[in-house]
Amino acid sequence: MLTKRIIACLDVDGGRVVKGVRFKNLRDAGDPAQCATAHARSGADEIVLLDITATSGNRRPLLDVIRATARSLFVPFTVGGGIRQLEDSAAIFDAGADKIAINSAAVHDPTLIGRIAACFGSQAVVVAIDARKVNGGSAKRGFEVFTSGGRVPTGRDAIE
Amino acid sequence: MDRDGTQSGFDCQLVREVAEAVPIPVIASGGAGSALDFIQVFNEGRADAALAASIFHFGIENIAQLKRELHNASVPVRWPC
Repeated sequence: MLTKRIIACLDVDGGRVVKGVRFKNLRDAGDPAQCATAHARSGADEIVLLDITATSGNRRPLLDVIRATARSLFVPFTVGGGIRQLEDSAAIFDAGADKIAINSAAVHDPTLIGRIAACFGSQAVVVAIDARKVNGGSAKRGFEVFTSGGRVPTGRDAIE
Repeated sequence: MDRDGTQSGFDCQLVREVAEAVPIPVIASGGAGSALDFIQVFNEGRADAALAASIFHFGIENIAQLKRELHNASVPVRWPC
């Protein structure tokens, strides 16, 4: 039987782990590599590192932070943020990630999901969806998809 | 997004709708505040995995202790080594 997994998520901004409430009022939570190691030691089944301003800041993923974090980890390591094309994911796998997470790019170019899966396997691709409850908006079932770190509404329904 | 960082519990209904709509594993994210929230999102939300940030970073919930509580609630988890 497959066990239920507990995943610790590191939202990274400016090379530091941060955490806010509803994507705002960010507080510092430490160094990514140290934070990841601590969570893995206490029993996390997976670590996710999200570069939360890569897309909105039009930046490439922070490969040095990814590399330093991957080096200290022995549990599956997923990286997301700013992945726009196949080459971005290749660089992230090279830096030591086991899986990549795509969010904005999966909305703008859904073929990217299949292209990454064809190169690296479907186990290596996660689609992350930021959904916000809307009343009477364009999302039929009540949850609208947002991209760019929760900044840009898409008019798309989360379930559909 | 509405629950992000609030520690008010996962949106189990939304997670369940997604889990029933797709054939692939679903990770619940947003709102984790206690072991009970995890138990609910696995049982009622049918999540395959649950993700959290605030409660782990700020020491509100320890992952080893959380897994013990999940195990005691008959949720299958891998024990920490």
